[in-house]
Amino acid sequence: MQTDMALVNKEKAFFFEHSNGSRLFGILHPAQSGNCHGPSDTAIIYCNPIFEEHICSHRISVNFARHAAQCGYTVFRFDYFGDGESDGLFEHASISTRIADIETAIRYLRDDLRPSKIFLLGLRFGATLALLTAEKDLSVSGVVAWAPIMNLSDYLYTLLRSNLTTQMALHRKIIHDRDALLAQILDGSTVNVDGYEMGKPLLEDAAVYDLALGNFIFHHKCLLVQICPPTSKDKTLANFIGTKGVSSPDFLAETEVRFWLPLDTVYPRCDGLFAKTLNWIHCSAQEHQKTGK
Amino acid sequence: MESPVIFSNRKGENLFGMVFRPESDDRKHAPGIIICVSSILYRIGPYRLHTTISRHLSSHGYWVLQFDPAGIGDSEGAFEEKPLLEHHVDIQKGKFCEDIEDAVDFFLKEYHLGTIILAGLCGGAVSAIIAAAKHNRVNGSILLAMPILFDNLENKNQFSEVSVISSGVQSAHILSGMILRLTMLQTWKKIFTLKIAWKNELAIVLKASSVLFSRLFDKARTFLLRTKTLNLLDIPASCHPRYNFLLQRSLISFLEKNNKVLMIFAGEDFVTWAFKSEFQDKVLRPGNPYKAHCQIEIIPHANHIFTGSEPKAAILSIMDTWLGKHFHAL
Repeated sequence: MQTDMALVNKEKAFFFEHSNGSRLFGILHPAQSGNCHGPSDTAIIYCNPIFEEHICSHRISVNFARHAAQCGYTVFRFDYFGDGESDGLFEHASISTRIADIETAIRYLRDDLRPSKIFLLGLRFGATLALLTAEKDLSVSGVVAWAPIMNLSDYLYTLLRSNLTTQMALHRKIIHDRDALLAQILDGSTVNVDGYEMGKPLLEDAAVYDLALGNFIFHHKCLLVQICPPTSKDKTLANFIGTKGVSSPDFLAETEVRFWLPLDTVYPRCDGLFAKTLNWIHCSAQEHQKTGK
Repeated sequence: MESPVIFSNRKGENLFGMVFRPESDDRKHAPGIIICVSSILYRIGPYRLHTTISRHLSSHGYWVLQFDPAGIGDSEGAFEEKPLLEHHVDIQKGKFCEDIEDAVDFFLKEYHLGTIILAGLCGGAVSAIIAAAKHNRVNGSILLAMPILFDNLENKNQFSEVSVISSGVQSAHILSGMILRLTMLQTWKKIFTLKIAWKNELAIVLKASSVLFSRLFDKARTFLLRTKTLNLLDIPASCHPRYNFLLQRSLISFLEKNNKVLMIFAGEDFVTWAFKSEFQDKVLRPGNPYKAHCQIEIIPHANHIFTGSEPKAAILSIMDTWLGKHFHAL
């Protein structure tokens, strides 16, 4: 169910209801009769990263959605429970609640727009969530993962460093080290990470859903995109594909700044990333149409 | 209950916002609060702070709007690709003010509100007070961690010892330390064996001396301000090279119309102490004419963006009390 529609250049902003009764906020960018190659019956659901990566990359997601809509794709962006302008508190959200949110978004699109193909596109934590959701939902036509986080536990553990930095700034000393913070979370308290309260549901789920554990199977067409600045020689994702022996997803190494982090210069254009992503979706959608897979 | 809204700015660009409605719908004379974006981060604010504040205030009977200025978040418009620091300085010079004034007009007209309060954090606070001074239907402002100094565009890519010398006490300490070192044999050994970075040392001496002299000049200026010889709308209270005089003029002109201002600072934030030394100690001294209209609070053990549940709770509690006192929601 959706409430209160608004319109910016054909974009529709609204709240839609999760099966648990909470309201999720989303913005739909309908396909425009464009001059590009996109079939208008293909929809893309964008899965946000979390923490400040969501806020830093917000405009890039808007720019991508507007560009894709011009190219003939319908794009749906939404906030997870406990994030953005959706209901709930961050500390109550976990990986499973976020996967359920993506499933709700898929259902909403399927019921309301009936696209013939739905692709999931995610950035960072959102990319990992997109891969995990697609593993459960076989009706998804494909997944594009922009710089996915392969080891969620490590990622969250690293984020706790920001709590230590804050302790040093405020108290001139570390009062609780990382292990103590982890123990606090597992005892049911929350720990503040850059303003977000990290709680037990997220941490516990990270251990279960870790892609790095090696038991992850790629059921769908997948494009894993490594995003690195020109100076970086990060091979994490390429190595992961090589060593884990997963069924072969497509791989793209894209030279681009890490736009999900605070940057010195704002809003890179990301033309290459956008074009290659849409091109891959276009080819996969055509293949999907031919083979029915 | 929240609803997404679209309104146009004076350039015809569609701006995107979210309105938080109070449960009670008695809007006659009800105050509306607009939360201004802090920099280039979109309307929900850092770690979703704006959304938290908006939901809290709407649950206490206030109408709240958070919106994206042109080029930000989900609004239309382009945003120039240039260094972030330059954008910050543009914002501190009022880049978003026209969009904020348009948001005030939209909020007043569309929801039939009695008065508007502008709120913001950091650059959002600067934008809020500059826009508030220009709009006669804005009667209150909540300013969180408001920087009185422009961001430092010099040496932005490298740390410079010279650039951090900013206070008189610090300069006096540096110069006295240097004089003390000149009495030591080891220093002279270093001088004669050319093991001293002359350029760096000279730059430090020059900067410290100039800061010290400007502080002395400041004291004379403060004395004149106290004796009302100088007008705060015409003369900056500080001669700090990065002092934001537009902000001073806006704040003073807003207060002179008997509007209400709440300023909340963080105890562990450079911005707080810069504000204290460059503005508060000079203008808002005991017995100042704005005392009844301007409240300043410092939250201890808080950083610039008030991360942590305790500082956040303190902000909400201070806001509740201040709003209840001056703008009782109906």
